[in-house]
Amino acid sequence: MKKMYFPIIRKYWKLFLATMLITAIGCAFTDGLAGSYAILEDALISFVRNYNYPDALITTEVTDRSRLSAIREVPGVRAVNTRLCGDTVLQSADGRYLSIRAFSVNDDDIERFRVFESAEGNGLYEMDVEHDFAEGNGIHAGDVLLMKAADEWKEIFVRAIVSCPETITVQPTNDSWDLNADFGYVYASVHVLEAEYDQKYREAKEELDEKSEELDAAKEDANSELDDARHQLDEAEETLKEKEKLLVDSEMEAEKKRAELIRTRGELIAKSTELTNKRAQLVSGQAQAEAGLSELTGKKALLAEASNGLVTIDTQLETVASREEALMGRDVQTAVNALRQVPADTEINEVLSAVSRIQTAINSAEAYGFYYDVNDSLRDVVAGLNTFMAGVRSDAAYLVSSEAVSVILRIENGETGIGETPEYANVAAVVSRYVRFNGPEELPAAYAQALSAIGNLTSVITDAQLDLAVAQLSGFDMTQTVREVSARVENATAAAVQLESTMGVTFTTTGELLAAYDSAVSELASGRTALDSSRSEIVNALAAQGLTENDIPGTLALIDTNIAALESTLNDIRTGIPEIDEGLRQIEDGLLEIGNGIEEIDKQLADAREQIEEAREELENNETAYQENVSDALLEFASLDEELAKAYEALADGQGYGDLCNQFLLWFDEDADPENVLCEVRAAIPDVLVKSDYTYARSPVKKRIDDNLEPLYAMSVFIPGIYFATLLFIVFLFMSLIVRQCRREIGILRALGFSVGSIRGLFSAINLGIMVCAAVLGFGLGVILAWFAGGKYADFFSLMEYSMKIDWVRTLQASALAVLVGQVSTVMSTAVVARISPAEAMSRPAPATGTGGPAGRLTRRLRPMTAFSITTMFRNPVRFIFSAISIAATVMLIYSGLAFLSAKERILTDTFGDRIRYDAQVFFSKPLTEETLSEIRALDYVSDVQELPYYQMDISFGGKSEAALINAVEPGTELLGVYTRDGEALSLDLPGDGILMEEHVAKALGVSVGDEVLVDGRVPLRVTDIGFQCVSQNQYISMEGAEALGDETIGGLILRISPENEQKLLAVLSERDDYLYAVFTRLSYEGMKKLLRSFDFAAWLIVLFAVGVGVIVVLNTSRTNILEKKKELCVLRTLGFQRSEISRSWFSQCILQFILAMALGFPAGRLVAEVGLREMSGPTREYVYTNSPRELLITGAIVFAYILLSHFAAMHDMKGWDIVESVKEKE
Amino acid sequence: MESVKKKILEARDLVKTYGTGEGAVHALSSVSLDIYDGEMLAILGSSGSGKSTLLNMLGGMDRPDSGAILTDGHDLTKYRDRELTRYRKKEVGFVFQSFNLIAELTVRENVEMTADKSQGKYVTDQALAIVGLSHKSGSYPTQLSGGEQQRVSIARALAKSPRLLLCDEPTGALDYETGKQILAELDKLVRQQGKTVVIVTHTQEIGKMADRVIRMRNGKITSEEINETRLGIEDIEW
Repeated sequence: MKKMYFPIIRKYWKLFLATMLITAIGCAFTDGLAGSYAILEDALISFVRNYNYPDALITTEVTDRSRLSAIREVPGVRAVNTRLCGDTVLQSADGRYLSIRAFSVNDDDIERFRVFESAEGNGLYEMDVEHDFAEGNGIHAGDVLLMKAADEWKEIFVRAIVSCPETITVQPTNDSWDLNADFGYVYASVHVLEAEYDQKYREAKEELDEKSEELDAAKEDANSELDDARHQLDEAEETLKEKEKLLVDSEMEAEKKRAELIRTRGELIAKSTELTNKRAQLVSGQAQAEAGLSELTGKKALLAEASNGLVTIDTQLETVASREEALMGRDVQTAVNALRQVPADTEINEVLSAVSRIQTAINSAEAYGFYYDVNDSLRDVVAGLNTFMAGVRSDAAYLVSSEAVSVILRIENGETGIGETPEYANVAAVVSRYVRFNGPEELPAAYAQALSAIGNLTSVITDAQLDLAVAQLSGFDMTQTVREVSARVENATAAAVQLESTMGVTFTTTGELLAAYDSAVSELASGRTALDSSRSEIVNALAAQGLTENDIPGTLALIDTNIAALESTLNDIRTGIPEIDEGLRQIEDGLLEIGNGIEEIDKQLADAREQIEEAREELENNETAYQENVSDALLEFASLDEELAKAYEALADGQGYGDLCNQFLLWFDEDADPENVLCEVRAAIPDVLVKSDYTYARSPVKKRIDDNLEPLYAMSVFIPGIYFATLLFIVFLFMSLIVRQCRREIGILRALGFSVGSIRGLFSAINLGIMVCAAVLGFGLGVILAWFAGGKYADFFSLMEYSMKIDWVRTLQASALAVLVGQVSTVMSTAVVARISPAEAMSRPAPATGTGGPAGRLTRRLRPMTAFSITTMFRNPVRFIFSAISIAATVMLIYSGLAFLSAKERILTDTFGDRIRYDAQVFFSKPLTEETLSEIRALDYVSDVQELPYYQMDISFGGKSEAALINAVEPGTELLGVYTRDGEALSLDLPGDGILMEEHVAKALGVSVGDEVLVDGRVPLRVTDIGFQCVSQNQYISMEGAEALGDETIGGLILRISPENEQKLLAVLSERDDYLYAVFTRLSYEGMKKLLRSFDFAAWLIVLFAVGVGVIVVLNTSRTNILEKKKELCVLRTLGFQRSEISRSWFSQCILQFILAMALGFPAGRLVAEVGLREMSGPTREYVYTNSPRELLITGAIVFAYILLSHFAAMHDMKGWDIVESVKEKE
Repeated sequence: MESVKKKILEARDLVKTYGTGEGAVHALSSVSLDIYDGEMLAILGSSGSGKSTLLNMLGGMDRPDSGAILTDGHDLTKYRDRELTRYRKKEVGFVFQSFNLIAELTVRENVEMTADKSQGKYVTDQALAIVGLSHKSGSYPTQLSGGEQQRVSIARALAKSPRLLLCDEPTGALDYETGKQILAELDKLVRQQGKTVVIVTHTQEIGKMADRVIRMRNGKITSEEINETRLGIEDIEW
């Protein structure tokens, strides 16, 4: 069995080597990144420890330091170091203005600094400059710069370039200052800052003295004004009492007059009632009389109308009778009957038409000798004409006969003696019937004329015409018909004349005449009927009234008499009513006058009372106001006295300098609880305003280190772990494939009697050797990687000293896992193969049977070679799937690596994309005045200046409290954009009690939209929205809300400015006393990029690893695939297939593998990226997965390039294959 | 025979040596022969006599160190790899001792893949019919007996209508009866289809059914004889 080691290794040495390399790279990656993280962590911890970083730090306003001596007495406090700090401006050697935070330092501090470079002092003020800041701005030890202190520019000597843990700014924090590359820390001697302190003290003292004098003057003025007011009040009260007495007298007199007027009004009302009743009676009588009169008048009109109607009807009936007599007389009836006998026009026209046609025929025939007897009937004439035309046609036939034509030709030829021939005689006889001629010489002309004449006759007298005439005349006896028609027409004409005479009109036709007659008769009949009907109606109407025609005259006379009587009565009534109306109007006037009189009395009395009330009320108000003024003045003066006293006291303590503070660095006993001791320290200085305090566990330094280490830990340990697991999975597949490849050898060994256990041992031993080699090689490479990456990290953190560290736990875990996976894959695969019988194992594996299925149907349409490739793929799916999974793992590695890089871009985009609309933020120590704003707006290189006051206050909710920055914004502040994480813009038009919170702060407090938070422990505000800001964590409130928070603000503004003008602005701002510092977006962007270096570096390592290991995986996969099919491909070569054909067909398989790998690898890569980024995210920074097609396309392109490369490499290998030997290999 | 049949291949002074110096093996030493249209040529020799090397060169699978192989006036030895491949595809059909069928393809697919695409189905059916395996067209090679596999191999060679069928120990992997059946198939191809068949074998008896027999030893042709008393397949035994 031992002899089998070498052949198997020799046969598959390339696959073993590739597997070993992949494992080694995986181990190296895991060991190296874990080691680099260990190096960084150790270096940071050492750095902090060596620096002797304080256990706690308190920042207070500047105060009398004697008041702080209590700090040293607190139990647990081992040591205290005090220093001043403040923000000011530095001018670099090239004239640029740099914002700095300056600390006064003592020897203890300086000892802890890590010095990069130093220079000997020259007697000037000295300072040490933080390393990164110095490097970024070209500051070196020995430089002499200008620093603004106590409102003066002072020369200051750069003694050293140093670093300390406080300055670690690799990872961005909540404090936006840290993003500004131009903001730095310097450490100067205490005198520099104390000079400023003295200056400010003098200024504040003068200010307080002025305020005290102003207060005394104000007190004097107020006392004088109060005395004048008292005197005026007393005079006003006397006047009011006199007016009240006059009012009582007036009231009594008015009451008497009012009673008299009320009595007179009662009398007038009784008279008015009486007159009103009488008028109503008259109005009623008038209505009755008018109704009777109207009735009589109507009846009279009706009777007159009936009488006239009867007369008119009778007259019209007489006229009708006369007309009837004229039209219905015997003579007229006779004439009408005669007219009705006029024959129909169609019959006459028909006869006349026939006659006309016959006459035309006769006329034509007569010209050639046709004669008829006038006594003959027309039918006989037609028969004659027919006979005549028969002769004519016979002549025509003869004349065109050869005989006639011959005769004519002979004459025309001048033949003599023709006239003697019988033929001539025949022709002449016929022609002469139509044309006269003289002798044979005229015959040809006559012949022609005769033919023409015959033609004319034939065209005029046609058989059809004659037949039509006969048909029309059939049924008529011509003679009788003509005669009857003539008689009737004659009678009709006479009758028409008579009728026209009777009717008095003239008509053109008898038809019209008869129609008019009939119409007249009909009208007469209907007229009579209508008149009879009308008369009956009138007679019936009279009968209904009980009257006859004869009663009409008498009735009309009686009605006239009654009408005259009624008209007389009405005239009397119409005269009486206006008289009564006049009486009533006079009474109403009287009543109105009395009412007005009473009202006037009441009004005068009410006015008088009201005036007195108002005067009384005014007097009382004045009295109250006077009392309040006195009280307010006393209180205000007391308050001002108190404030002034406090201000003097504070001034004595050194308070009041917002831009200067005291810092106390505290070291505690080792067994003391830092938080408890810090509480005790605060309790020991109850009167001192503490601006901030923290222990090391809560310190920005610790936070910065944690913020840095957290994502780096994920990228150095967690993500490599996932990648390593993926690689081991690929190794598992490769080892399984290798064992499958050894199927024949295993079969032979089993046939030779070796047990499964011994065969498994063979492969396990080989595998163990490979994995141990891989682990050792990986460890070696990992050490190199750890040293390289650890060094880079240390460099990013400005850590000068670091030492090699190995994460033995991870290293051993990775090695053990690699060996374990190798063994498991070997044991499992060997067990599978060993289950096959030796005979079967020695033969080639039998493929799936059957010719149908999708593969069969698909491949029938493909080219033979492509079909071969795809068919073999489908029928040996295990190899295909193994390969696709290996490539999918590569896709996963590369895609997730690219996604990590993309996450960095996302942070930059989220922070500095379109969402930031301003170029600079400027901070001032005091709230901005209109004057300051105007000055800055007046700068021509600055645009869109908007005020943005800052509050540094605690926000509380649900028992939690967070220190937060709060900005007050005007509605519609255009330069400021606040968005949700999804990029949705949020409104800054906030209500007075609203607050727009930042996501991280909101999350820390556990608030959501609609909750009410308490700001500064006193002002409740309702959360209107929650926004996302990548860097800063500002809250926004309205100006109205800001009023509730008070004046304790830092002045701030945002503006637009181009980069070339930034220094101009700084030069102006640096001359102002209230200027703190400025943050430029451009510089912040650069700073942010710098801060992300460590993440970027780790992401690139991951990408490089994925890309590097990917090429080995894909190459190895491709090689394994093609070697397995070496013999088949050689057979194809033997059969005459070109390498290019084989290459194309094989590549189709690669394409399918690629597609499947992308489909599997992309979701897996996305999952790894999302999980990895989630692991990297912390409370300060959230790394977000971006679903961008760019990464997918790049991944696809890289993997496709690998597949292409490995495919062409394999095809290149094929060139070297010995076809003859390969096809000889036994099955 | 020369006067009747046309030469389709001429090999002239073929030399092939493997290795150098004292360890050099002279596989072929100045070998010349002609192959005529429609004949069955048997090349006999023991193992290592150079007969398979010669066959590979005639089939364009290997190149001589020197010499020429002429076909239609062209020298195969001057062909580039691409032209040699085309020659193998168009002119020559191989029948191997170990069949060399593609295991993942069915019988029909194995045969069809070498046929002209435009006549693939027809030609495949014809070729399978000739070797009597139409009923097994849907089977996989592993489901066939050795003789059947070799017949599929012959059908695959026939499917492209080659001028020359080169058979390298076609009965070597088969039992006696099956081997006789395969030889009968090859004989039928020559006699009925007019194909030219070259059989390389170490079985002397097979030479008795060939039209011509060439014997080789140590890379040289030791004899060439026309078989005047050619036997039928039923008359030979080995």
